[in-house]
Amino acid sequence: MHTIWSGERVRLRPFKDEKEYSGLVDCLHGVPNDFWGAWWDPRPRLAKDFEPAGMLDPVKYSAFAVERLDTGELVGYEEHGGPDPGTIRAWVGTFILPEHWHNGFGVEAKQLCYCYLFENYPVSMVWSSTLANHKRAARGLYESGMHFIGRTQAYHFTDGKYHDQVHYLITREEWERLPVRQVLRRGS
Amino acid sequence: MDETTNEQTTETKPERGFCTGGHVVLRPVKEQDLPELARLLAENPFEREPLPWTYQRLKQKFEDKEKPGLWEDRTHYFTIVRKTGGVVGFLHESEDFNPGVCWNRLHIDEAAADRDLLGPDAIWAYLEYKRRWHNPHRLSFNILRPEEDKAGWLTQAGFELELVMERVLLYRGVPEAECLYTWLSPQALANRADDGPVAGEPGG
Repeated sequence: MHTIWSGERVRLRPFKDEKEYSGLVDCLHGVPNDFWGAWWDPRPRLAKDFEPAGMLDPVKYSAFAVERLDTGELVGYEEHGGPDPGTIRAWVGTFILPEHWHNGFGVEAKQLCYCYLFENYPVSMVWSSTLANHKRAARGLYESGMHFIGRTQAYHFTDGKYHDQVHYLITREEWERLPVRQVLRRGS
Repeated sequence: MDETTNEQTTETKPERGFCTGGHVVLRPVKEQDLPELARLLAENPFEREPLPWTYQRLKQKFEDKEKPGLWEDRTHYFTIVRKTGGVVGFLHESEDFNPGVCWNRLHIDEAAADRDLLGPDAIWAYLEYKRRWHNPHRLSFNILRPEEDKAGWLTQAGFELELVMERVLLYRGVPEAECLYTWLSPQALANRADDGPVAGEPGG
């Protein structure tokens, strides 16, 4: 199973070590997210997550490092979860450092992760969700090839209001038509 | 002891629990429930993450030194018992990191002839319990599309179909959809943000 997936802008790869993983997560979530709020975990917990499989566990919570192809910089991570026994779905989530936004890195990272999941696991769809007020994240999901499937209402509390959660998915058939499959490089 | 006959009596005490409906009681799982609970867990299509429950695994979990029982910080199993005694189902509650949000699974013995009576009663009892003690703002139940009886029970109890996610898991060899039924509190509805449509949504 390949663990390095390259497109035109970014590469997904395993984290080099726990220090790289925890350092990035700490950098991304050291202050509350504008939409989700606090998303912080203490360093020992991150290390404990990393220890068993370097964040690439076939069943548990996993994450790839996202690296820019032009500069080689680490710009974020692509989290995902493979299918539990009996289920035929997987999920993804993307975090990109703010200074690297608006370059299409998040969209391509998601698409590469779809390739990793659909090529290696018996999943029929990959899903993701965000908040209804997080328009940029919703657009990223849509532009990556997912389609909107619905809302869960009044899910997340921020500034005195309950915001809906919005849900998207991409089926195996939709993934098979994605142009990224033509430029994808596995293992480099 | 019966003084007139001088014989031992086996008087049955009514079941007590966290929430009581007209016919059932919901309470944390007791050791005596485990054999029947293992059978009921195996009937439910969602209870197989990461592995199917067996009596052996259930007992091991119940006796675990670090996290004993089936009642953890955010994940709670309720046994559903008849008021007159006898395990007939379970309710699995997972609290979200958002306060007041819970995701649930419900199961009533597929062999129970009166399950259409027991199911809505268990949902009502749970809803009343949450409203009285926990001030929830959204409660949801995940069911599979073929579980039409549960869809009916939830609708009866005031839950509405909110989301359908196609092709979530294999059920009897067929990819099936997961349906989410939700109850929202009046304050959640009154304070729901109008964020407008998102990308891909009609109007977005």
